[in-house]
Amino acid sequence: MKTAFVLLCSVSLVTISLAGEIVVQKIQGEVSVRQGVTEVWNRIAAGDVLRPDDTMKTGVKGSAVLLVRGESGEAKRITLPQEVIVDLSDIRDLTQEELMLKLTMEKVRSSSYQWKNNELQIPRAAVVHGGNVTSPEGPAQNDPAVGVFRLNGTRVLFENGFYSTCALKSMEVFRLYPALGRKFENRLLVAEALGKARLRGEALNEYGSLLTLDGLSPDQQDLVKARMAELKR
Amino acid sequence: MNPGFRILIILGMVMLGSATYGQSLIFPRAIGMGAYGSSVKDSRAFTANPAGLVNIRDWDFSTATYTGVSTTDRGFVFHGLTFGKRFLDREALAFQYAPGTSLTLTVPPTLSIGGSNTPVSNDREITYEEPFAIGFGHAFSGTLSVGILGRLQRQKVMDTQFEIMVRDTTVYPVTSKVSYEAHAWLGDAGISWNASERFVIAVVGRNLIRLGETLLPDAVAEYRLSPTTSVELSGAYIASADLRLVGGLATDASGALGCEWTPGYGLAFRGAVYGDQNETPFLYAVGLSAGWSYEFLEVDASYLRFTSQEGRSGVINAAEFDPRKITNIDLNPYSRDRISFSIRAMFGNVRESLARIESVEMYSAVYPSSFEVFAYRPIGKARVRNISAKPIQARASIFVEKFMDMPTESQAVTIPPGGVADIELNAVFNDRVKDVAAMTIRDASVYANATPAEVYDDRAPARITFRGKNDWDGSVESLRFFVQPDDPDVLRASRDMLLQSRDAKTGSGSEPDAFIRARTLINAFAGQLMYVSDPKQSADFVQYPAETLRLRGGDCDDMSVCFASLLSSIGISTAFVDVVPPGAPERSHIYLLFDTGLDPKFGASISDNPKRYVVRKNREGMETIWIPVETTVAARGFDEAWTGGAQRYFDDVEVGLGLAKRWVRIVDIN
Amino acid sequence: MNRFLCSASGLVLLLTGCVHPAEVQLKPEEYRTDLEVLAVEIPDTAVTTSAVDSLAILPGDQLRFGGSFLVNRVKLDAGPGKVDSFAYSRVLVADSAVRFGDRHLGFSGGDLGAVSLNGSLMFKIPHRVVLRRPIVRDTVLVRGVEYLSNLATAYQPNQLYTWTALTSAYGRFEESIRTPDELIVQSPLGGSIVPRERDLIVRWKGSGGKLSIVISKFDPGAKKSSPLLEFRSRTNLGKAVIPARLLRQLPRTPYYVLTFILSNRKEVEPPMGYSGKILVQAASVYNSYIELQ
Repeated sequence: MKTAFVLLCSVSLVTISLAGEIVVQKIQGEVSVRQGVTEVWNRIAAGDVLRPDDTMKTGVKGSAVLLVRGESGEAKRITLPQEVIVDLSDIRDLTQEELMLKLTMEKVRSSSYQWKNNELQIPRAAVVHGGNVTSPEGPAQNDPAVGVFRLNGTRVLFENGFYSTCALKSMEVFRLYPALGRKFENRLLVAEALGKARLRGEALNEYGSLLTLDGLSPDQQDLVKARMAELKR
Repeated sequence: MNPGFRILIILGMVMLGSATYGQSLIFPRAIGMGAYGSSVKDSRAFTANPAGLVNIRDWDFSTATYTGVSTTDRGFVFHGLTFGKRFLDREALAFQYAPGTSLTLTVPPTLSIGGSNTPVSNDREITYEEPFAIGFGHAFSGTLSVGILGRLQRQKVMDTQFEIMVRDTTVYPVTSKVSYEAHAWLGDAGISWNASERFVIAVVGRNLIRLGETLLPDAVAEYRLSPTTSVELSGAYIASADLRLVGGLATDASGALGCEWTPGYGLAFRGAVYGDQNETPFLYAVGLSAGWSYEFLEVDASYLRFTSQEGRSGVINAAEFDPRKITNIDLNPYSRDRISFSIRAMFGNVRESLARIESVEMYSAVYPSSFEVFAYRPIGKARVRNISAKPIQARASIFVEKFMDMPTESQAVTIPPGGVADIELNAVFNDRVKDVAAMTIRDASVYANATPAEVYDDRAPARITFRGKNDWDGSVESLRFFVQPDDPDVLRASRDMLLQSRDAKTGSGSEPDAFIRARTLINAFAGQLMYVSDPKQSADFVQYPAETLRLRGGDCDDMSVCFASLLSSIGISTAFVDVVPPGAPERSHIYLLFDTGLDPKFGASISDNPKRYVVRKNREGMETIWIPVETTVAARGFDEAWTGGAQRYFDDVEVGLGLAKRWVRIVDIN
Repeated sequence: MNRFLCSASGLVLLLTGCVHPAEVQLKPEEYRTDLEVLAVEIPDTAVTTSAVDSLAILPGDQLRFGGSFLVNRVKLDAGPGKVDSFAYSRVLVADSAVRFGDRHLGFSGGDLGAVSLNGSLMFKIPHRVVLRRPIVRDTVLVRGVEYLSNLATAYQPNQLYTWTALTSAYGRFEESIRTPDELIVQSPLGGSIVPRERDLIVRWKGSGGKLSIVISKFDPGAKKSSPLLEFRSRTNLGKAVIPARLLRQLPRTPYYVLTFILSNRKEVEPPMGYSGKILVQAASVYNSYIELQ
């Protein structure tokens, strides 16, 4: 009961800043949704109304068409191709300021560890860090396929003009799937999204760090440089 | 110079009035300066203005003697001695015994008894004296002080009587002596005001009241003194560090102008002129004085010279004698030139103060939960002024009884002469602070030291508020101080629980050790601790984890603190998530994050849904997976707590951008 | 150490000043310091000696000296219209004492033969000694002789008077004295009312002798005066002050006589055959009868 109340409050917060409602218009193939922070994927059907904290997944040869109604009532149709995972909360526009804030957060994630001189260290019991694993098998790595699905999802965001959330979500995916973060086309997408989101400086930074990737072909380098030159104009 | 003061000085130079200036002429420093009311700084001549007594440091003792300069003067006369004592910080008391303040007039015999062997005695002897004075001063502030003074004035007339005796066949005259006495306690009051750094103004009311007054009988009424009420105004202008100009005048009166020059080496030179409209010439006296001070001792000498010696030779016409002209027994138309000496000594806490505390400000209350912070973070500051002529290394220290074992001293701060500095105060409290049950306000003392000596230069009171040990100022940073992983009860509870469930391992097996332990612990306490939702009543009251364990429940803050302590006690890093929804601060909330220690790429071993965990840097700077835990539903087990926490976190941070917009804060506990 | 030094020097200062502060003298007018007051002997009241106011000799002196050669000018001033004056010379040399019981009443006047003053013969008259007794009328005893001259017209101030006695038994005896100036008293005049609570300033004119003032109670009925105090002027300034405090101590009777005596005196050895010193006096006497209130 309490949880529900809490969730209700959070939901009401969410709907204020997000899309009004999301309706599944059309479904083809395997399409499922995972609600909020639950672990279970459920199949959905056309006509279902989804919540912004849901996550949608389309399987092989699956696709879906969503109708997203914004705050002011205008609707947008979004098509999810196969093999994508999209957090519906990402289907929204961020202001440039909000994007900048989020990007700054990304960079300053260790802010909570800045100790001032006059702060006290609380004595603590011995802390055991790191991946202290007791299981003989070792921890399970994140499934790279899931990562690919998620990146496909960020591409959907890009194609539908949600550049901010595209860039942010891509960065999150790279954190969980470091290998994907070393791929040229994935990183390029982020840079392009930042450029489209009119964060020229951030885009340039991203292009710049692209050039440091291992195994770049000369064409890829040229492409990056060309993009950079374009931005600088 | 302020135009008002300019006028005052000019007025001082324009002489008015009709009687002699109420000067205390016992001590050379007063003689040499003339208008002394604004320059009283110790027990010497405090009768000039008792308000100046507040400048006494501790014990002050002075004595003076004088001699006339004419050939008929027989030697040194003991003029008087004074004792002064400072007490209670702002008060001072002084007592003067001055047998030398006396004027004796003799009427030589008009009729002698012929043929007898008894020596001829004076027809009359009239003595006026003020042998005792007692003064009291009180300082209202550093610049204003008042004082009251009582002087005993005595009049004695020794009269010769004739009697005609008849014995046998002889009629013979016989003389006998009759004494008449009168006395009164005269009360004066004075004010001394440091109008600015350069000006001191003093006002003294003389003979404001008369107590216990008796009069000389009518037979000798012609010798009665009549003390009249008058007001004396004096001012001092501190032209520079070594030059002081003084001037004064009185209502029914005349005045004086003088100066004191202290070139250094403890020397002082003074000169004054006295004026009175009723005297001829108008500038009727000149006073010169020199002094030398060394450590606690000061010796002075002075020469008082009357410009006209008429009437000052020691013999005057009886018909011209008018007791109404005697308004001051030391200085009146019958006083003669004199040379005076004095010695003054200070005892006790006599070192001249080099520093003075101007104000003390306490920044915050002391929360017993976090009392140790004040060892590093300032608890307040003291504004200290250097009142000496040389730069000083000033330290401030603070002491409060019972909660501190000894004063905590600040760092040394260099202050130039006359300069002011704010010195931050730290406080090292002892463990007794932790026992404060409810808010108390304690008096503290702040000391300023300019030298390594034990004796402080100045002391000022302060008040420190000690909150109750469970009091919380509402900030997440302070909440951390309630987390006590080392508390014996917490350790016992968590270790017991771990031991019990050492073999019971649930989950997929690939989960990290920290995750398993946290889950085990939270599940173990599920059902044992009850969440009590009472936000308003205990918004600023936080239970220590031992208390929560004992009471088996608490509110959202208590639970977060308790679980954070339990998790920390088994080696898991934790952080508070503090949420203050914008525009709705009453719905603020706190929950926990704990560190699994797992690299983000192994997130799948925790959960497939990345929304269930948080990737953030731990204190080593590595990004690890943290689990949000809603402690208020922990009573229902780990899963519910995890789900609740994750949902909240997602909504607040990911969707609501709370971290970016700063209405969500994550504060590491350990 | 330093504290000790300080205390020591403080004590030194204390001790050095042991002298009393110098006094201021309220000097009165000079004449205020001139008088000396002396006791007056009153012999037995049974004896009526001749009054001071005429003899200008105090009773005590009268009995002490073995005799006297007097030339006196006496004025009596009892107020306007009541002024009298006379001058005389008297010679009396004690032969033997006259006693009544154990009281010394006087002397028996010796017979010196013929006595002349500046060449003029003096009258030899019986010397009377009066015995006073209570209730009973006074008795007059005649004992011996005395010599008297009326100098009403012959008295001159500043003149040398010489007595010459040719005694039958002892030969010639001569004595001289100069009369002083005429004594004029300016204050208090006879008949004055003198308040007791104010100092009495007395003024006179006349030099050439010693001045003394005798204050005597006066009984106007019996016309008798009883001397109380004698004042002597040390320097004869012509002014003196009798302080009020003394006047207040005088008996409360109102009538007094101030006898101003300007005299030249000397004591000489008596003529052969007589004992005691002889007083030779030339005096100008002014009696001022006053009322003390």
